[in-house]
Amino acid sequence: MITIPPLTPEILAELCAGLGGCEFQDHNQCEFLGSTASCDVQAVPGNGKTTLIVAKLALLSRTWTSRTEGVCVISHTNAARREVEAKLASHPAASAFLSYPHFVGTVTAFLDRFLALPYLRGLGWSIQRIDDDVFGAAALVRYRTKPTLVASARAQGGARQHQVESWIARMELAVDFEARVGVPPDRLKIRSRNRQPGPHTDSGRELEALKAELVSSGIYRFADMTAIATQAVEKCPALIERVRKRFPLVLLDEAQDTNGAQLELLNRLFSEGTAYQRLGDQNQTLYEDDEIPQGGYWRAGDDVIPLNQTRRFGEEIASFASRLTARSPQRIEGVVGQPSLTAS
Amino acid sequence: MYISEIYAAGFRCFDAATPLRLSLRRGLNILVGPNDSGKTAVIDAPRYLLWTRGDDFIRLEPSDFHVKPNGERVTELLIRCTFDDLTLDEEARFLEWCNNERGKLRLYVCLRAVLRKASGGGDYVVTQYRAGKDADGLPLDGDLREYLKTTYLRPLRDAERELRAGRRSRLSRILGALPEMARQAKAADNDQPVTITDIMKSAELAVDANEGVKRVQKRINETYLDELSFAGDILTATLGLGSRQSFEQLLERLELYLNPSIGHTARLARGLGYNNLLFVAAELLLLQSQPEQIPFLLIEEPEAHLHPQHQTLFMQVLEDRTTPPAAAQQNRQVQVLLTTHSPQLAANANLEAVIMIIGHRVFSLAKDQTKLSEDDYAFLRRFLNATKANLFFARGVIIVEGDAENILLPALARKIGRPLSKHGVSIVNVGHRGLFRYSRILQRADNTLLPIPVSLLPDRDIPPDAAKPLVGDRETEGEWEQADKDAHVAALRNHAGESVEAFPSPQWTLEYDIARQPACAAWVHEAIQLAKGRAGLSQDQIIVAARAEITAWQADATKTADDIAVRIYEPLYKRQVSKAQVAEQLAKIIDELPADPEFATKLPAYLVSAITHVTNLPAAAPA
Repeated sequence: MITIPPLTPEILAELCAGLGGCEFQDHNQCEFLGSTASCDVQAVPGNGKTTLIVAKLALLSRTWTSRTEGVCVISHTNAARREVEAKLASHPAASAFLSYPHFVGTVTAFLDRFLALPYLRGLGWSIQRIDDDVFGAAALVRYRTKPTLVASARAQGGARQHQVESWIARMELAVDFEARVGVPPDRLKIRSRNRQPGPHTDSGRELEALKAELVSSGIYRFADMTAIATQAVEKCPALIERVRKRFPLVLLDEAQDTNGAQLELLNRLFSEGTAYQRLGDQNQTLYEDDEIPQGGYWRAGDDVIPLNQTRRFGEEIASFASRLTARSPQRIEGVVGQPSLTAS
Repeated sequence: MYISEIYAAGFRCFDAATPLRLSLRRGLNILVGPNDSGKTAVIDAPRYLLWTRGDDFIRLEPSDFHVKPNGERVTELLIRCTFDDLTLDEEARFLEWCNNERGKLRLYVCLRAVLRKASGGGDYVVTQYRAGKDADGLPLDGDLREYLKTTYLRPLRDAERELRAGRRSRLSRILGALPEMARQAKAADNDQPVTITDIMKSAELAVDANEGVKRVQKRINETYLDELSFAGDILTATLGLGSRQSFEQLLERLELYLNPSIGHTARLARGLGYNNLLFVAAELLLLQSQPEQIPFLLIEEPEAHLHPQHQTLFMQVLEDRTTPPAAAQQNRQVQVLLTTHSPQLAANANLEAVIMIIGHRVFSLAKDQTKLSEDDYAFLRRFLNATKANLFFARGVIIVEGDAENILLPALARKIGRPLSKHGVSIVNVGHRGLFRYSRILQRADNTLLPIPVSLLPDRDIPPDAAKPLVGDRETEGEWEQADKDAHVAALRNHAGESVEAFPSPQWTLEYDIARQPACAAWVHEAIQLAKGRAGLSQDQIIVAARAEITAWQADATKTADDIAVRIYEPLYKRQVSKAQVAEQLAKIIDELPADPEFATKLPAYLVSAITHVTNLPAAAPA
């Protein structure tokens, strides 16, 4: 049961003083601070989201007594994680949220720690590196022993080499890969990609064998961990209840950058039974990955809490920027009196 | 959750090639075994890994690393505990430490240590505590570390001291952890009953205000301290309860002691054993009511302080506490691992809880681990007593059907130069019931050879034809079909296997078969006649008469060995004398015989084989 002390002016003043002087005058900010239910927050750039998250934790630190249940703060990038950690560390009471039973970290770190790594240990598979570049380099060296792949890379005077090698370097575990405890796999099902040879072809079989070799050597891609975590949940749906019990409150920062399989898994874990609060700016989403459909990105729900004030620029830029909020129309409010910068 | 397995490789007596793999039950586990079999190492493995609530200082030393038979010390060791049956709460709390084994969450924790050489030449130990089956998970620290701490009751502890008031007393720790004391740490809220904190506070004020106290304090300060102080740096002192401190310090003032009798609370020193019971009671109270730690209890040799009847009682209490509590109860089921070399304790425990440890190898007697049937467990629960429980500690066992063998075999073994006591052999006298049930304790379901040789001595029990007039309706040797005889003997040998060997008497009974040996006939006849007595004859005269009779019978060419043996045996068969009395006389006669290197050849061969089987030193030392 999450309880948040009533947001009296005194408490808000103490809170702001504790965070080195800031203000929470926006009604919507207070709505988020006081919220104990699932919600989405659409925040404009420069709104002070990180400060708001830390303020929420500082508030909670007054009432959080459980030593067995925690708050889970998930961000997309390590940069955002470090920012939250640094701010928490400087607050005497909220710094407790940096350690057990709480969690602060990236999506990847969260999925690894609570789902993927326990599952891999259960399979008896060791891990040497989780790194896309390391995986790519190792895969490109090792495919030389696979005659069909080598042949197709050389075919037509090497015209398809780039295509073939991009499949090899980016092989990702399929969610329904098959594994037996303590037995190194000889083939592992990989996620299918456009025009990539399927498992019924010689090339496809060699890709699966190559993936198995790399996994047996403990070399993984980041996306493999998401697939493993997803399989863990699929094979053991009871995990969902454990994760929810452990984290009655989940704060997802940079929600706009969390996408695809990761977002789907997070939503599946936290969609109910826990307060799942997602903060982000849909207008800043980078649609980098052409393999993720439009629906694979975070979209705030209907009862979204908008945070419109920015401290980053004045009214003039704000009103201009407002016209660019294409995905989720939003009127950005600049700081009154702040000199408007003009692009020169 | 509970500890389902303790694993140790490279630790003390446990070689990495044949590591300790001890499966534990959820409740009571009793480790029985002779000295130096590895009992303490088994207890120490979880203690070193999980640490204990008393916070004893526990650190691996170079001497904890295994030494191989060639004298070389290993440089790596691994201790692992496996925890099973985690509750939903425990899974949620410790998710990141768990292994997910096909949907089943299991917690492994490991202590991995490496012995390094310092540049100066000395050794030092590097340790790592981690989760994961191969110590490949997260570090074992923080809340999980606290949660897994065990309670350890050391042998020969000074229980009275541990329950006495004092700094960091064990009792204060126990009290501080009990939910009943939670309210006591603070002053009571309005309208609530007063707390210990309130009581001490008001006592403190009362003492401070006391006339006598004030006067003494004043005298000390003004008359003495004043004179001893430098100008401008006056020393002053306060006389009082001195409890203006933490709640922990208040608790340290409490002590727990046994009353001299009901209704009287004066201090009276009670025996060490009783104080230990009180201490165990306090620890059990804590174990069952403290939800923040697993209820795992390690007890070493509790028999040290308790007389046999109290050992029995103690075991019953432990069994109660380690059975699953009724659903309505708040108490938690305690898991106990206890070591003992008391047959009394071992005999009183449920056989399924017993784990034998022999030469650094463990053999659980849990169901499915031995050849014992369901029925055998129930039988042994009733009939396994302290005397028979000797078999848990023996190097060899002879299982016999009656007093005669029990009395006679040690004498025979001594005479053939293989004294049973020297070989650590116990005789288990089952008294005509369940001979094979006892031997099945030592037979493994998976046919592993237990390094304890067992000789079974059943009687073949087929009377010779010569005894026909004596036995009346009973079928004698010649009247049995050969096939039936074969089947009968095969049935007696049927229970042999692994280290258990059956040695049925070749003919009828022990006494008869000894009497049938020409060289032994005289001794048996003498013993029976002495036990029986003859009117008007002294012992010496009986001996002379008996010897003369034997000489006469043996000189008579019409008499076979069977005829003579039947005549010798007749008073026993007719129950004119008791078997025990005869055995005593016979043992005495054999003891008094002059040394005879040929003695073994004079006995029935099956007896010599039975003794040899259990007194042969193993070809190679067990690993």
